[in-house]
Amino acid sequence: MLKKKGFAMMDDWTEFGTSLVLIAVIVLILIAFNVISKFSIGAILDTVLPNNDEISAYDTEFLETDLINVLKVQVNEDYTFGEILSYMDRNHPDPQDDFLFKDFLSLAFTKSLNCDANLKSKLSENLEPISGYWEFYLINENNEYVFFCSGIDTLEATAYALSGATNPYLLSQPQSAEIFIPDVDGNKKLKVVLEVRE
Amino acid sequence: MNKKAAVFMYIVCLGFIIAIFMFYGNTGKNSPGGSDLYLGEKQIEVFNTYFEAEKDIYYIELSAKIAAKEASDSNFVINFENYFNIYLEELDQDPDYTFIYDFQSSKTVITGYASEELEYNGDNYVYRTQPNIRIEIRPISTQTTPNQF
Repeated sequence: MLKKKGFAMMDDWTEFGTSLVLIAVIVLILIAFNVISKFSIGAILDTVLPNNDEISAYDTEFLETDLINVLKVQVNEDYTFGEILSYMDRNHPDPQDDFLFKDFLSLAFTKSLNCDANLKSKLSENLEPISGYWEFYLINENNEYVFFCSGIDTLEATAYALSGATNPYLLSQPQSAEIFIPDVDGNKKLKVVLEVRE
Repeated sequence: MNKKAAVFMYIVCLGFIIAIFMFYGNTGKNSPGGSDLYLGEKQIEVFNTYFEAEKDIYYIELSAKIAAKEASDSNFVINFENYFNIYLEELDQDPDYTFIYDFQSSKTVITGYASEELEYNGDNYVYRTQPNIRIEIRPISTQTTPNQF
């Protein structure tokens, strides 16, 4: 109801005020729902992509496929990497099968077997697309680390450890995949672990 | 505004707000997988089941390969099957195998047919796969075996 000159009456101002308050309330409700919805999407992203700085969980799911593919890598004419790993426990801590040590392995001072430059470069060829920093472990049923191979050399590892010691937040969380393989001597399984970092 | 119009406007506004609440309130229930699961969680679960099967199939394949390498040249078939069965005992599901051997001059081809499927149970599904295997090895006498050193 307007006055003839175009000014609103008192009733109309109340009406406008009420409408404005209601519109504001509705807009606030819509904003609140939008924010809640964003939180929900954020939670999904946190599950799938835990952190933008880290390897995504989606990739982690496929790390197991990468692990199997690397185990199938032919390291010499007769043996794949997986087959050689099956012989490792028999050669720990006292190496017996010389063919294992010819071109691919060395004995680390910790008495666990280690990959030499040849094997490391072969593995790196297949693992570089995953990450710049990878590690392989072979663990027997007594929880002994039978074999260890790292994609980085001692100097890089030291630098990495130092940077981690000075600021642990610099270290990214490792993503890992594991698989059991048969031991060549039978009646036991070996656990192969692949760990990668960004 | 007269009283009737004002009451009507309040009812419409209230109805609108209730409608918004009802619409968004049911969003979780209507989303795929229900409100308890994140989007993609079921798919990742299915992937994980598939990877479990892949790991077991790799275990079986590797068992066949190292069994072939460990088996002695004489009495190869019996030796191979003995070793293979020992390795498979460590697997949660160990199906029986029937093997067909093809001894060629350049290679030996071993095909193994599993008697049963591997079975993996998910929340609302069962994944089955036939773990048949086929491996090729160089003639036993030309292989580099640990015993030759």
